[in-house]
Amino acid sequence: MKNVITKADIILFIVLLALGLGSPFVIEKNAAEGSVVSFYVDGEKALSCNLNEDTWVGLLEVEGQLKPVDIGPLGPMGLDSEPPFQNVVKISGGKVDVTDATCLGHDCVDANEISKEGEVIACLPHKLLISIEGNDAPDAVIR
Amino acid sequence: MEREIAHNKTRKIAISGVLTALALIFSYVEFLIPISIGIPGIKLGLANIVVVIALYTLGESYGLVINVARIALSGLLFGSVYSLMYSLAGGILSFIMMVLLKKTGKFSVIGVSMAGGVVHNFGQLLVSAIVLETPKIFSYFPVLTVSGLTCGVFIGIVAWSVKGFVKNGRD
Repeated sequence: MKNVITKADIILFIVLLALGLGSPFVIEKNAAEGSVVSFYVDGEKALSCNLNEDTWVGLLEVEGQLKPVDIGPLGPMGLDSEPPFQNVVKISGGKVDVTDATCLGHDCVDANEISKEGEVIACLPHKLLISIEGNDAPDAVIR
Repeated sequence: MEREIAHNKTRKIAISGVLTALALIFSYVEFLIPISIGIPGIKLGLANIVVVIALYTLGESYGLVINVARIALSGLLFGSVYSLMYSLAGGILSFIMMVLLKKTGKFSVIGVSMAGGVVHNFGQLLVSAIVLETPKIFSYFPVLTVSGLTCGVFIGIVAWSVKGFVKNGRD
């Protein structure tokens, strides 16, 4: 029996729905398609790649810190002695995908590939965030 | 009179145990059926059915304990330390919001529950943004908000239908 739903419920529902559906427009985006793949570790940009150049990026532990390193178009197979990468990221055909990782949940690997500006993939245990950005446009700004 | 109160409390504690176990079963079921739409963090939140029912039949303190207990236990059993942290943040924020809304008396179980769903996801995004030290993860906000809202409504409806059946120790 729907006598239980109150007016306040409905107002709240509309507000929350508007928030969810409207927020993509509020998060300011560059009109053009983004072409830079940025890798952030601990909130700092550690590597930038061109979205349209096929390559692989591996997250390596260097002196106790995690660093994303461009490993070139051959990928992890192209290396003789393969260092253990914390995350393996493939950039190919204008799409970015995490293909392997050492983290527990593998949320980053399971995540869909991204190709558009503003889209992100994150590996929280490794504090890694991969995002697609425009060239010199400001980063996503939430007004 | 004293015996009555003791009986009530014992009953409440016993029911809390059962509800916590039930919440764990819901969490386990969710864990077994992964929703792979490629966006991490999307869950049905079935265990919240139990939390909402507890909140409305046993009260705030019992509801809080059941909530924290089921998050801690399911995090340890089915997740990792990281997932525990995020779930806890989302779970506690969402619980606070639900208590606040419930206290105003202007919302029904369904309203309370849908707010809980949205805030739960928001809390997880917040902790993620802090861990990653960037707000960019909020790119997931639209999807998680809408899904939190819809799941919250569904959970509220289930909780409302069921809560009449939980014979509580309350007056």
